[in-house]
Amino acid sequence: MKKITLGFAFFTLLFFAGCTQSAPTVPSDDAANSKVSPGNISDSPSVTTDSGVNIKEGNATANDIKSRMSPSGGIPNDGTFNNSSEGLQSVYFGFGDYSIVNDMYKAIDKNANALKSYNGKIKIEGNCDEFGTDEFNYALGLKRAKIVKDALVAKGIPASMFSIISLGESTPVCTDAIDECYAKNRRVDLKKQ
Amino acid sequence: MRYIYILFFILTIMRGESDVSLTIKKNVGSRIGISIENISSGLMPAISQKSFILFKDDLTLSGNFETVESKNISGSDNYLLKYDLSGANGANLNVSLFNGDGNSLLFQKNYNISSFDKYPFLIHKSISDINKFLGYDSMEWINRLVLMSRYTGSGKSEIVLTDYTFTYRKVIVTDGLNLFPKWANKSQTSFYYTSINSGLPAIHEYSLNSGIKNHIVSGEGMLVCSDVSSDGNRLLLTMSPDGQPDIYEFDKTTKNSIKLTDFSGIDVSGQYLSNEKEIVFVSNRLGYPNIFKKYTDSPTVSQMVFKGRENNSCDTKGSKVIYSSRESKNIFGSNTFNIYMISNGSTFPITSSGENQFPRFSDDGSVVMYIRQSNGNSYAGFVNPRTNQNKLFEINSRVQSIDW
Repeated sequence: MKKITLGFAFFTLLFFAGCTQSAPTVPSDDAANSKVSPGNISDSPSVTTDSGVNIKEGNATANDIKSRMSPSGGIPNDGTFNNSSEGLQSVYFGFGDYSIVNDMYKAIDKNANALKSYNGKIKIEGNCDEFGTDEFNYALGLKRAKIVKDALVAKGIPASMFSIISLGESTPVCTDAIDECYAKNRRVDLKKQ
Repeated sequence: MRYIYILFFILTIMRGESDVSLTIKKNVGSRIGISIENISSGLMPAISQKSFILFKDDLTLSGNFETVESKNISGSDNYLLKYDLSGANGANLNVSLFNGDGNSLLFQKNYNISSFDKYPFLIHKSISDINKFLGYDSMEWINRLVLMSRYTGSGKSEIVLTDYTFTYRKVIVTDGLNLFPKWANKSQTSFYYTSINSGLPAIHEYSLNSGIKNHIVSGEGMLVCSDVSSDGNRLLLTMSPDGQPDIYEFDKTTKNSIKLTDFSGIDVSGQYLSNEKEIVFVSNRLGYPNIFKKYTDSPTVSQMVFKGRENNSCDTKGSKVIYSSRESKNIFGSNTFNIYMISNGSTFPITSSGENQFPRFSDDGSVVMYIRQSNGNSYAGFVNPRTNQNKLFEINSRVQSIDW
């Protein structure tokens, strides 16, 4: 029995020794092996800056917003937070979400009522917090803009009044690294044109 | 007997852990020792120091050399690299490679470029030449130009041209939102980018040689050039003519586009696979962002990745795929994002910690670049899976997108 146990232990050691994770090897492929050169670098247009800028904009205070956030991260439509044109109300969204939460239907109703007597054009801008990446975040902003447009059209506002655009995470109204700020950036703004 | 079972238990735990993180094995013993000697005169101290670091980083990332102090090298098994960098008529670089005892000159070459601030390109070129001279695998990727879109304020971003270490930087496109730069050809003479100013989003092609930009296409909602075919004639675009983000193949000559995906949620980031009859893309059709693929002439979509609940960025080279995956669930604050590579049916991690996104293959597919976010700053990370070398370069900007 002892010999069997020792044998088992020996083979166990061999097994784990064989399983030690080593350097991943990546097979080469023939694609994209064409000869490249550094290229000619145009000297125009001229350099304006190359120091880089950390975004530090927005001066809205964020006190007690968190206590009024819905579980989905939306912000109640109490009129305190807004980045839309006068008379219109921004619509806020939950984290990674593009559905309109219950709190926000008040904002949709307010916007629909305001737009019934408006004859101009409205640009609906979809925005996101900074946690998404790349194209997906811009698509998320677009879906938010689209659903707000669809909700307003369902309320009887003509679709021809609207154009929609996604600004992704590019246009924050608040840049502090706090939860309340992120919630304020997950929004759709309605801008009179 | 009891100790054997304890040993077995410990090994079981160790094996389980090793499966979820990348083991970087440094095989230093197989690397050639090389000493760098700066014989330049008249350089500003900052440039002198920076040039030395660039040589060292290039040599290290090759995976073939270990830089050592000159007193520690000797004999024919090691090398001595001397360089003379000067600023007359732009930037001039003379590089000499000797054997370890400094007696035998093995390689020598002069390099020049039109303006001094482009000197990092001379250093990269000299190291790729030395690497090639010594018979190692190509590392031409260090000579490639990098395009970066960076945010400069709320609603503002600019496109910057850099070398791979982000030492050389030149702002190319400014004013408004300038996003998603993508090289238009292998020779890196022009690139596409999305411009959002007061009107509709538009894709322009910018020529680096002429400084002229040409309008390619405009559209409501969002518009991104995600990939370019190898012949440069077809573009994979994310467009939303009906407010719905889907992937289209755009013919640059005819200006016609074919809709490749049709889903009521989000389909973005189309990337050609090797034969360019298949694409890989990001979709939330399972309720969360994940990586899928499909043939361009078939509606059938297949799931590529079965791990992770937020895989929202990808790139391809040949038949290889890399993607980023969120591996923590903090709604707010920092999260762990790691980069994975799919090659020959196997999936393995490229990074093992931190917030790593925007994975991009080098032109030859041998190296992966990614952006690491940390404390409000961005860093460019490089991983060479073949040699297990990795390196981070500080960018000091908030990166929107990169292409290489």
